Order: sequence, then structure tokens, then C-alpha cells
Amino acid sequence: MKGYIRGAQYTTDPANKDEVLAISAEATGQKAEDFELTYNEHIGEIPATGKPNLVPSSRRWMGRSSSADCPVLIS
Amino acid sequence: MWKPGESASRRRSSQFAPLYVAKEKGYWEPENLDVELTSFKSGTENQQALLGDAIDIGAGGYTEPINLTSQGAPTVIFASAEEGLPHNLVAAKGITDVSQLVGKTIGVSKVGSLSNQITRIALTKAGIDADKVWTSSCAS
Repeated sequence: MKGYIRGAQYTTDPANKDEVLAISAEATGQKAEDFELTYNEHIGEIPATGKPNLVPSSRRWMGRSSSADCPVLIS
Repeated sequence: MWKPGESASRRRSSQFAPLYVAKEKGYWEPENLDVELTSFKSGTENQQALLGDAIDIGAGGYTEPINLTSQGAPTVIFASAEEGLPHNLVAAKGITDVSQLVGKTIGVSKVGSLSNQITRIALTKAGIDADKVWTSSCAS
């Protein structure tokens, strides 16, 4: 857990964004600019502590029933 | 269980970035852990590998430990990779409303996986009978 938490803390520090994108792109075989789309969408929801919290899990879908309610990643 | 070995991420996506960073920067080395990251095509495969002791730790959806526990293989959630669901419903051009999905087929990672279950929940919350929308296993 210590290693994971260090990783989470480093990942969620905005100052490390470019390096995190480069590392993640290398690990996943994606282009950094493609990975950045999901990074921007999810980075605010990655807990730096790794502490489990299931309460917000339903938040993203609430109130969204049409495409107009959803963030557009690909147009 | 926590021992040197493999940690598997269900998919290689942004919520698992801390794993990639920890691996790349050697954050597990002080604990004498030689961690190998392995990727599966679905949460279903992830939980099968965990059940078969092919991996030590699984990183995936919350449905996997629930399924494993219900199958008599108690598991523990000890960390959270994301406080939310990393899913988006993406449709072909021409489909602009969830109601248009009735009778259509939605691709999920695997039937029974988190993406399958959360799709059914989302459809239900949108007022759609989930049984009137087909699902197909398409891997990640």
C-alpha cells in the first residue's frame, strides 16, 4: 500500500501531469494525447490516499439521460 | 494477500495511473516487492485469475469482490483507485437519447462484468427496461 499511495500522490499532483501522461502512455500503449482525454475526465476522482469510498460511485450517472448531459470526449 | 508477485489491472486506463507510476518510479522496491502489472480484457477474467491464484491482487470494479465473495472466496477491498465510475456511454451518430437504445445492442467488456451491470443500472435509472436492450461481450 505504501508504494501505491506514493503512486497515487504523485499521479494526482497537477505538477506531474506531463510525466504521468508519458508513463501511462508507455504502460498502456496509447498516445499521451489520447490518454490525456481520460486523465482529464478522471484525475479529480482518484483519491491520493487510496482510501476506499463507494459513496460517490453512482455520482457520474445521476441525472444523465441524454447525450446533452454527458461530457463529450469524442466528436 | 499481499506478497511479491503480480498485480492485475482489469483494463489499462486512467484510474490505474497510480499503478503505472508506482511501477515506473520504483515505489514498491523499498518494500522488496517485485510487482508485475498484467492486464485482462474484462473484470470477469480478472476475478477468475484472482480466484485461481494466478495473481495476488486485482484492480478492477467493485462487482468482482462481491461476485467472488458470493462464490465462497472472500476478498477484501483495501484501496480505491477512483471515487466514481469511469464509464461513459458512447453511441453511433444518430443516437442522441438513451430511449433510442431500446432494441439496440450495447457492447460491454463481458457479460456479468461491471460494465454490463452498470449499463443495466444506468438504463434502469433512465427509465429504460434493461431487458429490452441487448448486450454483447466485446472485451475492453
